Formats: sequence, C-alpha cells, structure tokens
Amino acid sequence: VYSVEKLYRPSTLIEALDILAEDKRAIPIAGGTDIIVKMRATRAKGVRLVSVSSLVDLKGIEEDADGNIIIGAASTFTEVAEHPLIVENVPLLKTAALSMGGPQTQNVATIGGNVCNGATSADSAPSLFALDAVLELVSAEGRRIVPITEFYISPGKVNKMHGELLTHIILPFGRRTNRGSSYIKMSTRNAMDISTLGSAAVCVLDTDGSIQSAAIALGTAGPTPMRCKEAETVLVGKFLTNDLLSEAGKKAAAAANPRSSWRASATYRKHLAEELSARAFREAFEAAGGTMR
Amino acid sequence: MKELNVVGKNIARVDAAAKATGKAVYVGDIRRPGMLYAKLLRSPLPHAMIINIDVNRARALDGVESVLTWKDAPQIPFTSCGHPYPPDTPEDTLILSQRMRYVGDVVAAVAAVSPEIALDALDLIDVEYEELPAYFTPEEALAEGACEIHKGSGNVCGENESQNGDFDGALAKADLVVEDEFKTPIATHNPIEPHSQLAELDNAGRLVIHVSSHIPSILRERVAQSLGIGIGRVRIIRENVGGGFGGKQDILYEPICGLLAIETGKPVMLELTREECLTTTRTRHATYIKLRTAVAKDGSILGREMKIVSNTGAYSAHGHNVVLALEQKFRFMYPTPNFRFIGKTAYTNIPIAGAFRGYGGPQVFFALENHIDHIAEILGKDPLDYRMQVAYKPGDPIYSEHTDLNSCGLREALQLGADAIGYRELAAAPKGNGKIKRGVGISFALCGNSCYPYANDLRGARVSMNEDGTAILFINCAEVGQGSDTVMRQICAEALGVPNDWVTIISGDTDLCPFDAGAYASSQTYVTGHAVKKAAEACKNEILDYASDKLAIDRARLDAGNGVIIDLQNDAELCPLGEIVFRMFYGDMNNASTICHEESFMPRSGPWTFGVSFAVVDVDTGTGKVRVVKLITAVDSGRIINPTTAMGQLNGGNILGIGYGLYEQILIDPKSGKVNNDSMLDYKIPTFADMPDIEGYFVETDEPSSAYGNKSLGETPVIPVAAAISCAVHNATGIPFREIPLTPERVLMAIKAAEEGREG
Repeated sequence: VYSVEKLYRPSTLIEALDILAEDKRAIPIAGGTDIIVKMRATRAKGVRLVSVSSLVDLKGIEEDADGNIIIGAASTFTEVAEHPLIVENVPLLKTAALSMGGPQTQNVATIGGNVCNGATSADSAPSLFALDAVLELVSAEGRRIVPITEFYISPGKVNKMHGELLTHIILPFGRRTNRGSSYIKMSTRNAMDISTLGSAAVCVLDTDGSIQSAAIALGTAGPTPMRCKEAETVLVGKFLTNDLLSEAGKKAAAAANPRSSWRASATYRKHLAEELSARAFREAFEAAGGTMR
Repeated sequence: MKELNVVGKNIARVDAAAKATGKAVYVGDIRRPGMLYAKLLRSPLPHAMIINIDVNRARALDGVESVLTWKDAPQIPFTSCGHPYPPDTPEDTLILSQRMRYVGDVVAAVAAVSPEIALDALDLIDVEYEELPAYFTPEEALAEGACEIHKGSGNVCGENESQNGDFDGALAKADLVVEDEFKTPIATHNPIEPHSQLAELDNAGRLVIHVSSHIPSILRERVAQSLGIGIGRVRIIRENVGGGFGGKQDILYEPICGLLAIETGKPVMLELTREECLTTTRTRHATYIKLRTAVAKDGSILGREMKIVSNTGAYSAHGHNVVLALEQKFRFMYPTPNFRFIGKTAYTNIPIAGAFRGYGGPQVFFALENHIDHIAEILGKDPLDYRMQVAYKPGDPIYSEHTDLNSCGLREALQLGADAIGYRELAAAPKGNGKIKRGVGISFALCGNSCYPYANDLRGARVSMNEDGTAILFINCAEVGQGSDTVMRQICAEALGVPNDWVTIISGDTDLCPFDAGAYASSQTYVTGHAVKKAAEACKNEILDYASDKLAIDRARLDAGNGVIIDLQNDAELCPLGEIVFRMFYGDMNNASTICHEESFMPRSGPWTFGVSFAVVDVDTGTGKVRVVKLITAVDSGRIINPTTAMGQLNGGNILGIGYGLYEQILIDPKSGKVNNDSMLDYKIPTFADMPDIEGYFVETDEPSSAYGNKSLGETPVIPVAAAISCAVHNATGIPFREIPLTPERVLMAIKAAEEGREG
C-alpha cells in the first residue's frame, strides 16, 4: 500500500538541506501523521522521503537572551505540551497540543509538520497566530523569517519552497505579567477529531485592569487560519464587560468566512466563531488577572 | 438460587491471554505458500447496468491470476441474511451481478500475487455503464413511477400490518392524542477487524473458507447455495473474530473469495479496507417512525399506533425482519389492547442494512421513550412516575408474541437504576444558570432470547471425554468477542461436574463441530447453553452409571462435582471422576467404550430480557455539545453465568449506544450516492476521552426455560442508551429531539431556533 522509493535519513541539518537541494522529488517527513495518511489515500507511488524527525537542530524548546521562545520544528506535540517554558508562559499552546489527535499521535506528530501541512484546521495554528509567531525557514541557499500570518496561502498551500525546511517557530518576547491566554477547540469528539472551529486568545492587562492588548485568532473559520483584528480593536483600552465581550464575539464571527460542507454548515461555524472567541478571550482575560465589570 | 461450582463465577476468558499477547490468529494473519490477494472493483454509480466490461488488459497484467465479472459467476440468487433455512427475506443477491445497485456494489474481482498488483489490475478494467435513476430515501424509492431496483418489487422489500382491539375507537374516546415523528440514522458496526476471508481447496478439492463470522453453519449452507455446490463440499473455519456486532451475520464476501479460489486453485485472501468496511458491508437500518397514542385524562393509555418505514438499501439482507422484531417491543412495552402497527421496508440505492446489535431495538426505543416523555410533559407528570404508571408490569396482558413470561425484573431494574443515579434529586435540581444545562433521561430496553418462534434456531454441542476425566467440548456457537466460548465452557464443566479448566473448547469449524445457527438474537447462552448442558449431562450420566456398578452404590445416590464422584446421601467424596473414566477406557477387557455425546436444542419459548438506562447529560448551549456525565444501566438477564464477561457486554453495549445517540451516522452525498464519511475520522465512534462514568447492575431473576436460569444479554445494553441520552437532552434544554445523532450542530441549531421562536 505504501510505495516508498527512497527514504533518506540524514543525520545533520546541512545534510538534509543538501539532499533536498539535489532531489527535487524528495519530501521532508517528520512524524508522518499527515503524509502517511495522504500516501495511502492517493495510492502515491515512488515516494521519496527525507526523515527530519531526529535532526538535533530541529529539536528542543529554548528561551533566547531576548526572552523569545524558540521551538524546534521537529518537537512533538507531547514535547510541546510538557515543556516548562510552554506550560508557564504560553499555556494555550499546551492546550492546543493536547487537543490534537490522541496521545499516540501527540507522541509522534510535530508542531512544524502541523504548520507545514497548511490546514486551516491545524490545532497549533490559532495559538501561533495569536502569539504572533514567526517561522524560520532554512535552505541550502540561506535563511528567511516569515510571520506565520503570511505563511498560510490557501488550503494545503504554504509559503515554503522546495528545498526549504521549517527549522524553528519563534514566539517573540511578550510581557509575562498580567498576561493570560486560552485556546478552545470545538470538535464532536474529545480526541481523534478535527476541529469544527478553534479559537485562541491572548490578553495583556494594564495596571488599572483595562485591556492593554488583545489577540484573537481562529482556525477552520476560513480557507486559512486568521486573526480577528476588528474584534481585537473593539477590546483594546477598555474594561471588559459582557456587552463588550459579545461585541467582540460578533466582530470575530463577521471576520470568519467558513464554508459549508457535510462536516458542518457555515452558519454553525459562524455561531461557533462568535461563541468561542468570546469564551476564549474571557478565559484569557481572567487568566491575566482581570475582573469583568 | 443455589450456588454452583463453576456457573456464576468470575472466570477469565478462554482467549484472554492469547488475545492480550498477540498469539491469537485472525484471518488476516494467515499466510499460505502461493497465496493470492483479492481486490474488488466497485461501482462508482448508485444504480446502473453494466453494458460492456473488458477485462483483457487486467488479465494481461503480470501477476494477475484471475479476473471475474458477472459473466464468470453463477447467477443463483440468494439472501445474505444469516438466518437458517428457509429464506426469510427476498433472494435478490448474486455473487456478481450485471446490475449495480449502490456505490460500492461489486463490478469485478481480481486475484493477484500481491495486493498492489491486484489494485493496479482494477485500474485496467474498462466498464461501460448505463445509468439508471437512483433513490437514497424510501420516500423517493416508493414514489409512484420510480424505477424498480429489484424487478417486481415496487421497491418494497417487505411490509406488514397488525392490529388488535379498536385503535380508532380509542382515538375517539381519548382526552388527549399525542403524535410524534422520528428519524434514525444509518449507522455501521465498524468492528476493529475488517471483514476478512481466506479461501482454499483441500486435497479432496473441497472449498475451505477461513472466516470472521457470526454464522459458520449458515455460511456453509449459503456459500454452497450461491456457488451451486453441495453443502458437504464446503468447510467453514471461523478464526478469531475482532468484533462483529451483527455486521458479520450476513453472507458477505465469502462466496466471491471462494469462487476466486476455485478458479485459480490457489489460496485467496480477501481483506476489506477500513473504507470498504464502513461503506460496503452492513449498516443499521435508517427508519422513519410515526407514533400516535390515545391517552385518558389520568394518563392511562387507551390505544397506540406505530407506522414505520425502514430503509434496507440496495439488497434485502435482513430486510423487513428488523421491523418485525421491533414491532414486538412496541407491542409489549406499554400495553394496551388497542393497537395498530404498519411497517414497510424499502429498497434504495444506498449501502445495505443488516443485523446490528439491538436489531431495531435502538430505533424503536428512541422513538417510544421520547414519545412517552412528550405525553408525560403534556400531562405534567414526571417521566419516571409516568413510566411506573403505564409501562408493563407483571400480570399485565402480553401483546407481543413473546408470551412465556416466567421471569421479569423490569420494575426492580427501574427502581435500582433510579436509586443508583439519584433520579429524584436530579429531577428536582435546577437545570443550571450558565450555558451548561444538566438533564436526566430514562429508557427501557427489551430483547428476546432467540428467533423463536420465527426461525429454526437449532444448536448442537458434543462433549467427548478424555481418559483422565477431562473433556473436549465441540461447538459451532460463534465466539465473536462476546465471550461465548468462556461461558459454554463454564456450563459444560458445571454440568459434567468437573473443574472449569478440565474442559477444552474446539469451536467454529463445520467439519469438526455440530451445527449451530450462530451468534445472533442474543441467543447463544440461552439456546446453545442448553445443548452443551445436555451433552455434558449425558457424559456424566454414563460415567455415573458405570461408577454405580463398580462402586456398588445406588445410582440415585451418585453425582459428580469438581472432578470427584460424590455420595449425595452423606456428601462423601467417593473417588476421583478421572479414575472411573480411566477404568471405562482401560479397566475391562470385555466391556470398554469411548464416552462422547452430541445433543441439540431448539427453543420452545421466548422470554424477554429487560433493561433500563438512566443518563445524565450536560448540554453546552453555546456550542451544542452534549457531554454524557453518567450512564447507569440495570439489566434483568436472568442468572449471570460469568459476572466479568457479562459486565464487559453491558459496558460495551452502552458505549455502542453512546455513539449511536451522539455521533455515528453514515452520510450519503445526495447527488452521487457516495458515502461522504468513509473514514474513522469522519465516521465518529466514541473514544476513551468521550466516556462518561458508566455503571452496570444486574437484577438476577431465575428463568426456568434456560439451562441455569440465564437469559440473553448481548443486545439489551445498547438498546436504551440513545433513547435515554436524547430524553436527558430534552430534559436539560426543554427542547424535544426527534432525530439522532445529537451532533453539536443539530443541538445548537435547535436551541437557536427555539430562542428565535421565543423572541419572534
């Protein structure tokens, strides 16, 4: 059923990049939880794979001197969910990681693979959008940095050339105090399910308890993950009330552009965008220490 | 009930260690030298005639050994319904047909040296179709002028009407007439082991098929019929079965695999993919149910009517039998002398519906119980109180054909469940101020114990003694994961008077084991259990006769227990049973014989098994997501033979019911007739992360018509669950639900509609 013509197992990043530069048909594979499924579904023949899951350069989660959190792209979801830097500073990403698939998939699937797969339903995407993540892409030619908001082009299509590897996901330094975050995934089942809609929120409070900054992002609400800038604008500088929250939810729903399919109607997804954005932001606000007025 | 030595004890499953360590062999594990792999070309169209088919390119492909189309297969119609002779649904199925009746119907079969080559060969078959009008709902298929899916059928697979008393008179007298319409989804079994078969010829040229099936004996008869060969020319060997739930109680792909083996003279393996398993095996019938009840002011039921239309899909399979089975449940549960039942089963161009654990029970109880709640709501009565008022109670007239009611723990189960869940507190508690609303729901369940009096439910068993007093039990009773080998061994050991581990089981081989109609109708412990007991007792009697003679003790004083011959008069242990048996083989030069008895049993009464579920749910009114918080099920299953395996059956059935109530539905594209959700991502069965707190209880009655007071269990626990959950969601939200599954979208849209209705 699986027709693999060649499996490269480079031991260094340089070697992997050289292989990709030479072999135009080679595809990077990490955990394989998307690629293997696709290979079976399409009965792909003569597939050439470059395994990147054990490249040391792509592993590990660290904090640099400026306080940015650098996530190796081949970090598994389990590694992301368990790392103290994630748990303490960006707990929404832990929630997102644990919402993806089930324990078995979390143990092999990587956050970089999730991003490169280009799905609007990617469980990491809303959180990374809300955190203003930037991506480091490396090829034999050199290195470039792309904000995640510019990475997703269309369903399954991302801003990555052949020969490039996503090496790191960088979460820029953000204030650690008076900051809260949340991710809420709606799916029919509690495991092994695709998100019907996902909403991530990050909130930073001013000393007076008003909202200094707000970020709201959605997954499965359009062809690509998205930020809801209008909803954020409504919130910034204000004290949070139920009315304000519901207005923000409505703005988020207005920004959403989901499609109807047999999986869920656009109307239902719009309801979810409104409901979950408000819920996620409220949770983020409360985690930041805020009190509703 | 008297305590017994082996029956009623928690004994580990016969196959537990082998399955847990991976040593158990399933069909897909078998390898033969020179074995071929089969793949099937399937129709892309829901309804079409093959007007031309060219297999030359496929046959020419290196490694391809056989390509079969309808022109190469016997055109002998049969029914795939795995019930004993005579056929009880239309014989409308062929191994390979010129006419395609659903997306996935088999166009051609290929056997090749590898599965990859077989798949490549499918791409080389050129088919020209003449498209025919296709219908996916009974409404379309039964419309006037619709194209007949089966000639002469009018697209009706089966229908029946029955009535008693005067329903119209009851309507006229009623203070209240309540009407509801319900719709249930197409669900599918999705066993962890896909349908698999390996066919080969033995040295005498007989066809041997290794199968994953509920019905070895029936399969042998039907494979022979479909291929036009003698029953004795076929041997069925049931390997370990990785789940069936009724989905392997049909004749599915065994005949085509057998035909490929006959054509090639080589072993042929046919394993379905997960996608094929989901879309081209069997499903639970989708139904449309209308209930109408005439009620007096005090709530008493004066008359009842049920109209049901069931969708059997492309071929009859179990067809209208499912409606006939659920009719009995309708008639019994809320008794009134005035009732009318009108049932019809339609052919359509969708995947084939068959037997599925519960056999119409989950559908009818979903409708019945939500309807009862509706009546209770109008009357202002509590759902539990109202059920206590109108549900069957011992002494009530019985309107079902299950008339021999000698044990009934229904009321005890209801009380036990209500107490265990704390029903009164829950019913009185507020539903919740925030977005999460809590509710509680109740549903009964009923299940028969065999197909009596509708089918010839013959089951056999043979017990053969070893020289040391240990024994071998031969049965064709099908172990499909439910634990039948384990409990049959217990029954055998008990009846023989030996320890459990003295009995070895050989089951599921039509050459070695006696005829057994198979694992369906929750009947095996009730029916085969009798045959096992009779055969074991016959051996014991022979042994005790001999012992009486040799020990010079009156036969009436002797019994055996735990492998020892006992003097009943003073409870003295006389001698090891093994010693007597050994002497029977070797002790007398002039008078020795082997000890082996085969017995059979056919049920002559039809008791009911009773159950009740209570579900507590939290409904998120912002997303529509339903969380089952707690599920309590109490079952009167008679005496429990093995509490551990029984609880496994109860929990497993409950989980299936949760899936049916909340998630599972086969979605058919209304344009192409193709199944949209042919993967386990999109055909959503519950995961461990979705499991509520599940508790099960048994009310142990003593059923006199069974071997040890036992009654059926397999199907009962799935029947009340979707009903109880949907009643609980109604209780939580105040919104009635008339269609399952209660997907988040369905629930949220109903909540929004209700809100708009209130505002508007």
